[in-house]
Amino acid sequence: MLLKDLKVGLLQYFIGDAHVYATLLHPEGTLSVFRLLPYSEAFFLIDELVDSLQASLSESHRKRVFNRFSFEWGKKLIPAISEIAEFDVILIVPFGSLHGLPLHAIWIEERKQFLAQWKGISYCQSASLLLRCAERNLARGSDLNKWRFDAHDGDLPTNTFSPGSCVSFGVDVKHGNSALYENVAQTFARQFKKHATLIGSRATVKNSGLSVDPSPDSQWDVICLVSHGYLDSISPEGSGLLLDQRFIGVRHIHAMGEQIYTFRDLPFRHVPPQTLIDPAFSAEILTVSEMRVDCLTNANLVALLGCSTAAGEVRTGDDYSSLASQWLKVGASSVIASLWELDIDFLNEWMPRFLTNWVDKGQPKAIAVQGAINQTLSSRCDFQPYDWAVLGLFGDWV
Amino acid sequence: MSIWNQHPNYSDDQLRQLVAVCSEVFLDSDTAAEQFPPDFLEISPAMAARQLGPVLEENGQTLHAESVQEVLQDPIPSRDLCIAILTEIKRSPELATRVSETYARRERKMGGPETVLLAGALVVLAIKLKELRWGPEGGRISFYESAETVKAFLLNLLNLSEHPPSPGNGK
Repeated sequence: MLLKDLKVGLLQYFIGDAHVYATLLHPEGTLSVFRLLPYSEAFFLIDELVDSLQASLSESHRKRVFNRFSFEWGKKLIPAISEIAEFDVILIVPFGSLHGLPLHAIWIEERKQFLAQWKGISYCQSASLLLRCAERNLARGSDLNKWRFDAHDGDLPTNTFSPGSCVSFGVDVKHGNSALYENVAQTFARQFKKHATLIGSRATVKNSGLSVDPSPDSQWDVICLVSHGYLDSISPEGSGLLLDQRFIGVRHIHAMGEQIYTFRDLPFRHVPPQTLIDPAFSAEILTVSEMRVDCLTNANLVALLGCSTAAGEVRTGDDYSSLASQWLKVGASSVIASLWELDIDFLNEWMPRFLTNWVDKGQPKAIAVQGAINQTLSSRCDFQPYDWAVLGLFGDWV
Repeated sequence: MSIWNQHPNYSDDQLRQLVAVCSEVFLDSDTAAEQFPPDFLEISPAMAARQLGPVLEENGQTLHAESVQEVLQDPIPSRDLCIAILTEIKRSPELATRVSETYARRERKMGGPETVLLAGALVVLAIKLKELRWGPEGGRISFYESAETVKAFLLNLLNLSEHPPSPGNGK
């Protein structure tokens, strides 16, 4: 299948005087406007869903609330099926309380499948950030008209860009099962021709390519971080990934002129006392705030494989602050991250399928994610929407 | 390896997680759904103490809710109380299996909500739920005797806190 034959639409939300609205931009430039449900109804339901996903201590309760969203009221947040049927990929730009909602988990009764099975989906917090992600995406430097991918139809993939290098890192600072997390990281990285899994003294931020002055051999197409996520519901800027202190290391911050200051951890964020850490580790959190200080990357894809790495909070100007969106802001073209707690069993089912679709079959990322979901649900009918819809694609869909 | 192999020598983290899981298993039962709201696990020690008062006073004693709250908040007696409840749960093979399977699933999560020791929620559920059932095919477990054992244990803790041992009289 040819990439140029895919039809892509931009679904953008806004809040009107009393309703939630969505606009759908077609490739040819036409714009459709849809009035969706009243916000007096929407916000109550959204608050209940978000509260249960982020704060409820009962997994059963979370699943019940989630299923109500997926099978009952979620469809009121998208245009009629006939309006979106023509698209292969839908780019979603939420607004306000709709940020962070798993719209891809909405059940489409007419199709007897979920939206994520039917369409390739990618989210971005704003159209301008989406544009920047697309502009810096090296995959778009190739001739997109000639990009052919295997859409499970036997087509041989031919595209000049292929993600060739990956650096990964895995650590479990809470339970000490780092071997399990390193194995996930290694399995991810081995899909690429050039790969490295950072272990021991080589596991540093600098070697991951996330730095103002990355080391020469640390320019990676793909970065994969496998660790526990931490969501700070009171101060979301302090949310992030629980990593070993050696990974965070020291930060060389360039001040005015030639002056360089060295900080161990900036801004400071202690691991919360109720988060018990395995005594073998000195844990730190790679936070959203920290990534605002002198961080750059040119990675095509960053995989944040921990809990709630895409969960966050709306700030002023509808800026959605989450670890995933911060990686997009510092230069990543696309991010795969989780909206709530990620199960490692699901990850082990989904991840190889996504990587095969993207790396071997040359599929654009949104199509690769769509395929991985379909393949996973075909083999594991025991996964409920709460289990499989946890991962989302953010940023550029290519 | 089941978490029950650690009984009763749990680390603080294990005990917190296990108490949360037990509370969740109780709350997921049909009997709990009839009596408790879905967000019951977030109940505060003060609220739990007020719920326990009438149940504990069935034996004719007069108890202050503050005393119950103190026991629930104090790390040492609340830990002892939770261990006592876990001992009763462990006696029921079907219930213990549900808990250990849920605990193992929770361990596979790469993060999740942080929690304190949910002693209040677990104590209320363990004392008030005399029977647990999960759907028409899910089975039924009687928890009546265990609930009475837990109540007696808590009353003993309260008696100790309300009537501290008198100082020696010098003899």
